[in-house]
Amino acid sequence: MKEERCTLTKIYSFSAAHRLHNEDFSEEKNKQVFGKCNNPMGHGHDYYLELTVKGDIEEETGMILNIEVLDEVVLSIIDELDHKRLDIEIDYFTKERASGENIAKYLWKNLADKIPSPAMLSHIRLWETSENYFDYEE
Amino acid sequence: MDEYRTLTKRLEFSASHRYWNNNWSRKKNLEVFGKCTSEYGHGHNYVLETTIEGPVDPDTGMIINIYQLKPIIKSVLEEFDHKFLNEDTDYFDDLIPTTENFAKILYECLTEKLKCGECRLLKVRLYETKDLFVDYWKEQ
Repeated sequence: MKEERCTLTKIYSFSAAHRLHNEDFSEEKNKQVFGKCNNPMGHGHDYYLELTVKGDIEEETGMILNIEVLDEVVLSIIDELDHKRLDIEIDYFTKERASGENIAKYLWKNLADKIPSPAMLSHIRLWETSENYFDYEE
Repeated sequence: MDEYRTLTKRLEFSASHRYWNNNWSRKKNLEVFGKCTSEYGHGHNYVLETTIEGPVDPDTGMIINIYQLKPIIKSVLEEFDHKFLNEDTDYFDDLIPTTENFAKILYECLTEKLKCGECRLLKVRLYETKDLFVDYWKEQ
């Protein structure tokens, strides 16, 4: 028996600044580990979030999830990060490095429970630049 | 045992559609489908990514010859290209032409036409816009 599988992916963008720095490291070690990303005044990226949800196609709507509903949920979370200095203005990243890995994890943690069931968050891909992306799923 | 690999071909086409559930009131249709209920439809430049899985033929180094694959996909898309999906095709008489349902229809049409030796259709990815796509496949 072949089972139908369907996912829907929407790409969102936000722009934010960060500095990668660990206060437990010496100045020299911070520079060695984080390189240019340790610049004291920070630097920024246009992030692209590819968010994938999975679920059955509902007969009444023909959809896994209404895009307008998804937009509302996702935009409420990424608006908090948009045009911010993450490691200063966002509480979570004052404790965790604002690396691509951790931002992807933060987005998963904040979004997973907010996706209206029966649809479920399936995957997160966070593009930091057109050359780097980070995948996260639980 | 042969090593299975995948090949993906992208093709663009354009079509219009309208979201409307006949079992619902006008109010509910507007509430759920918003602008997509617009009476005469609206259109997109769709991009279909067709992924084929199969063993690599040692004589050609290919899973399937693109020259062979492209006309097969094109013959499927011909039915939809520059059409109003709701009115000009039979697939959406009782099915709302959402990206999800459209991906499913394309998967089914392609599965029929892509019975070619050992290779098979693995997955379709249908882009409705650059920032929105649906993947559709069947677990074996």
